[in-house]
Amino acid sequence: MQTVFQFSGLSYTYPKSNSLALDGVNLSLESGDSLALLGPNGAGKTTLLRILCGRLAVNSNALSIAEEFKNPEGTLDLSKCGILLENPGTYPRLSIAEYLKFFASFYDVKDVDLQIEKLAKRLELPDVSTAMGALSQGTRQKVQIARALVHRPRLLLLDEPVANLDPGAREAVWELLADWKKEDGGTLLVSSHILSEMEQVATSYAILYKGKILRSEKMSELRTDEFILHVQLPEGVSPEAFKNGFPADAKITHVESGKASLESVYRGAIQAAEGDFGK
Amino acid sequence: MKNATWKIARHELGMILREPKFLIPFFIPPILLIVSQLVLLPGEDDPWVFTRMMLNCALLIAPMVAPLAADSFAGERERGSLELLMLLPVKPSSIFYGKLLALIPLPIVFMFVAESSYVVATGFWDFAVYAKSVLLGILMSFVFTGIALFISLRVKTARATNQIAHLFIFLLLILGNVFARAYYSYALVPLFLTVAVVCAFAAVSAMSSKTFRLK
Repeated sequence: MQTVFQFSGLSYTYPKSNSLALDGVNLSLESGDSLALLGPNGAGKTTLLRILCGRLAVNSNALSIAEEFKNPEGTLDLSKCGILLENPGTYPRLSIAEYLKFFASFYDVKDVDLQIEKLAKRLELPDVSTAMGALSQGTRQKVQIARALVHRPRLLLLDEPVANLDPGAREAVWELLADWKKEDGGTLLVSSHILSEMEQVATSYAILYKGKILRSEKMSELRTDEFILHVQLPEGVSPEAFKNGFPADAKITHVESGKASLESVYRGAIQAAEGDFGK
Repeated sequence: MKNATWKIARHELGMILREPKFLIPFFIPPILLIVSQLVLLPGEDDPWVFTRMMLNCALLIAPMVAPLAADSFAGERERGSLELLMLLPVKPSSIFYGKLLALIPLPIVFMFVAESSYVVATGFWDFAVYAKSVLLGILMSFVFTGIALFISLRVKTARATNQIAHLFIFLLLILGNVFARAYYSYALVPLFLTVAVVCAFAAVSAMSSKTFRLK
C-alpha cells in the first residue's frame, strides 16, 4: 500500500502567535484508506488540512507527499484532490449548476452535466437552476460536497463535511463517499465531531488535541483494557453473589477482549490529556 | 495558465455584471456634471469651462472602480470564496491577473460613454480635448485599480478598502485641477503621464500578485 502523505514531526505556529498550533505531529495516510481526524474545536485539524493543501507553508522535511499526488513544486497536486475546508463561501447569484460548472471547468471533467445531475440526485439537491443565495445552509453544504466530488478526485480532504446536515442527508453523504471510494479507489481524510459515524466510515483515526496527536491507529485496533468474561456459576448461586466478590466456585468459561467504541476511546484520550495539560 | 486567467476573468466579470449596484456609481458623475452644466451654466461658451468639466468627469469616474476592486479580493476573502479559488489547480497569479483583467474594462467603457454623453448633451466638440480627457480617464482608471488592489490585499474588509481608496479621490481631484492647463496645453505631458502610469501600474500589479500568492 502506498503512503499518500506523511507528516513527520510537523510543528506550526501562526504568524503573530506565540503558541504552537501543531506540535510535533506524526501522521500518515495510506492509499485507499479513510482517515478520521478527530479532536475538539481548536485542536488544529483545519490547520493540518490547510498545510496539506499548501495554504500554509511549512518546512518541506515535515511533509512528504507521494509522487503520484505531488506537483512539480513539491506540494500537493490540487488537480487530483477534492477539498472542502470550513465555511467555504459561495457566489449567491450563481445557480447550483453554474457554480459546479465553474469549478469543474478547471479540471478535466468528462460530461460535466451528467456528473452534476448524478451528484444532485444522490445528494437530493433542489433543481440545479436554483440560485445559491436561495439555498439553506445545509443545502449549500451539500453543494460544497458536490463541488469537491464533481471532478472525481483521487484524494478527498473534507473538513466537517456534514456539520450542518440532518441525519438523512448525512447518511446520503456517507453512502456517496463509500461509492466514490469503491468506484474510484479514492483516499479520504475527513474531520468530524460525529464519532459514531466516523467509526463506520473511517478505516483509521487520529485524535488531535492542542496541536498534538494523542492517539492514532486503525479502527480495527480499537481495543479497551476491559474484558468480557463468560462465567458459569455453581448451582444455587445467583449473579447477586458478585456483589460480595468473585464467587469461589464460579468458573470462567470464555474470555473476550472488549472492543471499545470510538467515542469511549476519544473521551478517554481527551480526559487524560486534559488532566496532563492541567497539571 | 492563460486559459485559467481567462476563465477567472470571465467569471469575475459575470459576477460584477450580475450585481448592478456596483455599476450605479459609474453613472453618477457624468449625470451630475451634465445636469449642473445645463442648469447652472446655460449658454456658457468658454471652451476652458467645458474642458474642465470633461477633465473632472474623467477624474471622477476612475475612482468608481474602487468598490469592485475591494470586493474582488477583500470582499471575497470576507465571504470565504477566495480560498476556494486558491484551492483550484491554477497558479495564484492566474487568479490575480484574471480578476484584474475583469476590472479594467469597466471604467474604460464608462469613460467613453460618459465623455461622449457630455459632448452630445452640451454640444461642445474639440477632438484634442475629448481624446486627452478619455486618455486621462483611462490612466486614472489604472491608477485607481492599482491603488484599490494594493489596499484590498492588505486590509481585512471590503469596507476598509473602500474607505482608504476613496481618500485618494481628493488627491486626484486636486492634482488633476492644478495640472490641468499643462496637461491640455503640452503634447508631451499626456505621453509622459502614460509612460509613468503604465510603469507604476505594472510595478504595483507585480507586487500585489506576489502579496496575493503569499496570502
